[in-house]
Amino acid sequence: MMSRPSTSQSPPVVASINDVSALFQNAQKYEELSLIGTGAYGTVYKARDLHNGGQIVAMKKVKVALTEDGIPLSTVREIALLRQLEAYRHPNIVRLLDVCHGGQCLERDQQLVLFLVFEHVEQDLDSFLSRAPGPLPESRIRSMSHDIISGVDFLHSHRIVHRDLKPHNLLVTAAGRVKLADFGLAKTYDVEMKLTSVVVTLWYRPPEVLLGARYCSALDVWSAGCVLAQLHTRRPLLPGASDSDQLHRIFRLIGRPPRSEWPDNVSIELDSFPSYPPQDLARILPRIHPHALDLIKGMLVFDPSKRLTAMDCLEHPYFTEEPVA
Amino acid sequence: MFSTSSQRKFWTFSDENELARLREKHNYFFYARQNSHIDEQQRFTYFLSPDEERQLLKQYELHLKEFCKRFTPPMPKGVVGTAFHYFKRFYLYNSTMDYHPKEILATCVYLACKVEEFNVSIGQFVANIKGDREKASDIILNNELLLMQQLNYHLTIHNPFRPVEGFLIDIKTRCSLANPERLRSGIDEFLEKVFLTDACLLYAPSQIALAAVLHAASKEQENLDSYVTDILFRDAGRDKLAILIEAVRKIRSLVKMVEAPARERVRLIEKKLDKCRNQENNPDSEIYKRRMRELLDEDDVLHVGSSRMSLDTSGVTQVLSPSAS
Repeated sequence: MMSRPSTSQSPPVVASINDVSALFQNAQKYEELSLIGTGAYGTVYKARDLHNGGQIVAMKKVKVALTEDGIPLSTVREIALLRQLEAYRHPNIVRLLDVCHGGQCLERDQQLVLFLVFEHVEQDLDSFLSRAPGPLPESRIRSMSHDIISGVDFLHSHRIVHRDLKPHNLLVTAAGRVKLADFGLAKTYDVEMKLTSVVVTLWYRPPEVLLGARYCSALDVWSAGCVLAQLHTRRPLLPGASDSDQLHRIFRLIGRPPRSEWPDNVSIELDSFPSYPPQDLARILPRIHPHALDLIKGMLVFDPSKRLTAMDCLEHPYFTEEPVA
Repeated sequence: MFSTSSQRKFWTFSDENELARLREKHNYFFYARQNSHIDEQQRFTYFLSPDEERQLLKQYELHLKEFCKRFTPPMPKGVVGTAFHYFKRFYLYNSTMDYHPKEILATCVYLACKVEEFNVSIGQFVANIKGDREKASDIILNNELLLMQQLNYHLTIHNPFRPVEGFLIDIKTRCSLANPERLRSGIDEFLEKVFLTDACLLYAPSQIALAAVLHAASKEQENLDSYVTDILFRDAGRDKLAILIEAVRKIRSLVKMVEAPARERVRLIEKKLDKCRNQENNPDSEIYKRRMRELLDEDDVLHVGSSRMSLDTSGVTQVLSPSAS
């Protein structure tokens, strides 16, 4: 059973001076309905917001280890950032409705339990694509692509790297809009986490992460490029079985990079890969709009500094030459 | 950006009456919750009145200013501004009778250090506090989560310091004022005082910044009116200009009215507070100590490491009263 999250008082409280009960809001505010999933960072529940007409929410339980300086600085800053981002109400970012903490257990085990309360979206892109009866119409692909990149661009403009973009944490609303979830403090796992207990999908990982080189926001553009390709085929573009298999698949697709682009300080040698020639992406993505093809090619570039940025993508002719729905 | 921030949405109030209403409400709530035998007509003979709470908080805002000024290592302005915001926000929704300002003050500064990335350990932090430092750090760490919750996790603060820099750059490039740098001391002095008023709960940081700049200019016998009307607001329309002029006028008059509360009066209020404060939140009270002992007993013997609950509160009062002489 979920411990009762005592709710944060949400100012301004609309209550008359006689309404003392408003003061005792610390009672239970959310009712747990079912488990949605468990990740390395915490658990996600489906719950009912008892104070807002019973709307369904997704509650992410996040455990934070306390330090001798109290709540870690990084956690405090992430909460600040998530709350601040929420004020923008960006259409392609999942709504963070509330933050609560999980009772008084913090003194006992030096652990803080936070509940991040998100809007609940029934479907993710993974299930959306598997349920699609046939190829998605071009207009739908275009608007979904635009949604994804707009969300990424918004995060990047706030100096947030998502680091784990994939169809599983892209939510599809009933109206067909795509929203990014699972970033920042709310992430369920991280690229640096080498956890064997969690099956982390490698399919959307860019080469710099697989090689253990330095990475930056361009990481998300690669992942988004893989997702965009998948919108066309409804199949993952690079379904690798291991780190090494993933790299081989990448180089078979885009060609083995020139020595000049190979990052320094990585333990894997360029020569451990055959000199794959680049493939024509159009053969893998038949019937694709030429602009869409060009965009995806620009996102799947080996050298992160030569990859399109999210902002570049939004200015690509694929989105600018015809109106996006 | 302030215009899309949680600060504007949730923590910028329409006028001083709204602030007064909130404070009165929570002053009343405290009384109502005590189930005291004291008749409502007589309640201020024992409990603090809203005005007494205001006077007390004004005194503690002076303490807060002094504490930050003397802090070693030297504290950036942004930390001070953020701490003031937290302190003011906290007491819009809480009574000083529930949470003693000396405890909340230190916690506000500590949390502001984290959010503004001013890296100080708890040890370094409490080295700035007179009295029992171990107890002080327990109090701060125990209140940290409470404070975050009462701020509704809205931790990102927009301070007027950056807009000030923007105005100075703009004045240097677009205005004929000679040596704008000479405005700095007047600006700093104004901003120090502005945090002793409610201006940051009522006006945008850029409005406060402009009030500071105009105040400093008039101190230098300069007039920047035409810069505001002909350059800054040239294309904004008359109604916007009128709003701004009114805001600047109000902010300047708030600052003009700042005065320290009468010493003797505050002393009496503090004595009254010692009696009427919520003993459950008083670390020196028997009831608090008993509750914490119960919490620890409930817990296991295995509990090792730095106990946040070490209750060696050997009689020292006034620990957190910062070095305000």
